[in-house]
Amino acid sequence: MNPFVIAGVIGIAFGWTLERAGLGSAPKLAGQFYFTDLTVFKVMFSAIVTAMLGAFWLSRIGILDLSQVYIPETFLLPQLAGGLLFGVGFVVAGLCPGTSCVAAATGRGDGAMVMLGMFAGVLATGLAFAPLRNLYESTARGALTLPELLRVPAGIVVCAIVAMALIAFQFAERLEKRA
Amino acid sequence: MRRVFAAAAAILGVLALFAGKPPSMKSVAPVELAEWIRERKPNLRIVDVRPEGEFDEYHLPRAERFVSSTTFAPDDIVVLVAGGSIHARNIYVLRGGIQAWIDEVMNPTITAAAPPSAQIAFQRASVVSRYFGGVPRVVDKLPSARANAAAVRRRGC
Amino acid sequence: MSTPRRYADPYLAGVCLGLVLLAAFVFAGRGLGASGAFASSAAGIVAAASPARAAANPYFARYLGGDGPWREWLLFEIAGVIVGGFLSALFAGRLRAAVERGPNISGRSRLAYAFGGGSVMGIGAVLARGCTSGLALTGGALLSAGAWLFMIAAFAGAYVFAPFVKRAWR
Repeated sequence: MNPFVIAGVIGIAFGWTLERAGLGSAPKLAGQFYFTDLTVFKVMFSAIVTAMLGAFWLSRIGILDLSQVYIPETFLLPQLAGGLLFGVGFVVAGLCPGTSCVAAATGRGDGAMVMLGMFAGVLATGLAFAPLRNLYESTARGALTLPELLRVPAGIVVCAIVAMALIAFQFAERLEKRA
Repeated sequence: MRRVFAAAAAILGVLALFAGKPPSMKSVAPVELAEWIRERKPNLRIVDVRPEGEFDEYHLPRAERFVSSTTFAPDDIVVLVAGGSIHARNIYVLRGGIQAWIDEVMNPTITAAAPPSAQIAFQRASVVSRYFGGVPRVVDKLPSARANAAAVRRRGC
Repeated sequence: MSTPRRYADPYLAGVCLGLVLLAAFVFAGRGLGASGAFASSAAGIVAAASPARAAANPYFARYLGGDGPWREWLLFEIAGVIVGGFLSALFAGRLRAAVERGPNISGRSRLAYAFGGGSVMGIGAVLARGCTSGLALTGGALLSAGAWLFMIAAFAGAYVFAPFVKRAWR
């Protein structure tokens, strides 16, 4: 099937699910960072655990060939710096790039404004790219995975992440009750 | 419902500890194999499992055609070219088969606008390419199948 | 307008989101993303305004190869996100023209924060080559080291900066 049709269908499911979770609403997302509403954490890590277990086991039983799936590459310094910046922008805006589209689609003017800001930020950074280029290309590690980095089998990393997530969910429930 | 999810995750997570390595066998990239051949890696055997006609038309340097009498010693490092699946410790499949060897070792290409990481890979490929009589080239546009994987790599998410 | 329905259980939504992500792995050989769509469009617009400038720019040039910046998987995916978000809100009675904000700032301030925050996210996403969808979710599930680094850094940045924008949300 046409890859763009697949992209569109997957996108529809993505947008639908985000909206159902309430992640198209900036105040709800921002609550994560004031410990009043930990929906962002719960949705994100449930999704990561589900897809991680799914990818691990489908690959294990031979249905999914992980070598054919694009794994985001590691660039230590840019992703550290970019991550910090992204986090700052996120708590200021209350929406991330994906959820800003959902918010805008449901009529939220602030969602549209976040999209505009994203666009402006990307445009400006691209136009002023020359001084950033060294940082951007630095500390490349290719498709480095946690099992490779830690030199342990993937199964151990998977199990550890599941355990950490389940424990963290317990804490999240208690934190929210106190809020 | 939450308990069901948590239980399922816990079970699948614990089972992952015992899952061992995934069943896909080890594979080797064409440029790395070219380096192995050039450096005369000990115990290396390149076994081409394609039909005789295809083998006669073109095969890797030092490749042998897989025939019914082909046997492997335990220490052999066997690389199957365009092969099927055999599950054993030292058996590799050439990633991408004969076409990948041709694309990446005999005719490596790069675009002028490629990032440094791609240029380093191209330089490595060019060295072995020339050794085997191949033709590294700088092109305007990558051939489309490789362009797709390269596109995701280049464009990020 | 009917009473809006309650939001779905976050864990259920998360599991469903994980299944969507898994479907992307299986049927598209890649994960989700969002910031890349913004980057590709930016490249396309620069190219439309000045093809020479775009081709000479080391960041935008990478989007001009292949089939061009507009035939980008992520653009079609984001179009789907917009449709999906709209439909979900439509059926849940949550479609509403509004500027959502904390109780103590004005709509105009909120819009300024939205634009400013969005811009900073844009810079971060360019450097990191992704955002929460592409790196944190996709890379997280695939155990990419850089993705987990990004995720931790993003949460850290947000929590550290949160007190400074408290008036926007509380």
